[in-house]
Amino acid sequence: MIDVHNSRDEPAVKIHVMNAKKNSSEAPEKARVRRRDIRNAETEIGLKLRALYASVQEEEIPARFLDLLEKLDEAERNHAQLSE
Amino acid sequence: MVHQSTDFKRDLIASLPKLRAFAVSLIGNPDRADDLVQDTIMKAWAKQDSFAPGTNIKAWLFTILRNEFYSQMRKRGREVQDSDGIFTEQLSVHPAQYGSLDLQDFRKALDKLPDDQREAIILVGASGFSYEEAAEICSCAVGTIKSRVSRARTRLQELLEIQGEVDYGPDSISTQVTSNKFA
Repeated sequence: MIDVHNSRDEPAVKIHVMNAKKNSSEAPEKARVRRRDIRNAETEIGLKLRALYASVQEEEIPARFLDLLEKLDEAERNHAQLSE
Repeated sequence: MVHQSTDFKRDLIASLPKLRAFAVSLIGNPDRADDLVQDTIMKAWAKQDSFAPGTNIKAWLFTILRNEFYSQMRKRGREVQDSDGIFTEQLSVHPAQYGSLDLQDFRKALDKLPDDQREAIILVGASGFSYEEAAEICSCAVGTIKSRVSRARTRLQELLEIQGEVDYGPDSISTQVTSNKFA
């Protein structure tokens, strides 16, 4: 009983799919798929680029830079005092 | 005057993580990138009077770093370019910096881009600059930046598909073709 019911349903589904294919022309569909693939790849590239960038940005500022700025600042203050 | 200099120092320090991220993305070799950041700090400090307070210090610093990068490249000549992947190979020494193997593959692909394309896609795709701001930093036309970013994306896509066919690309395409044909 169940098998017979299924075999009756199947062609109906196929006809539905075929009708849908007839109604939409194939070229825009292919273009849509291609656009989607390009978009997905761009998203993937964007995500990886930002992940790489963030991995560096989240690191602590190396002490050598803070020391350097401290020295530059100090030199400038000393210079200002001398010229006063 | 001293007060202004303190503000400048504070803003510069606040921009350092972003500046380092830009340098490391641009160069690949973390040690060389940090040397470039150091040179940029010294240049920026020396010409801090030319910075207009209240304007975008990040864009100002990025411009200095970028100009410094190209002037060093010109001075050292082409041989320092990482065409053989020597610097990239050193990445294994800094595994924490790039997390997963996946990102190391991406790093290698990024390093294969021409400098101008790499810098364009970093500025727009990761640093958060608009096309217009990126054009100003690179002192070129907005259209030039747009085309560099677009070429960088296409090239990265090609490079990553070659390295990671399983991840995406041929597989998803063949799935599409199959389902279209047999639907």
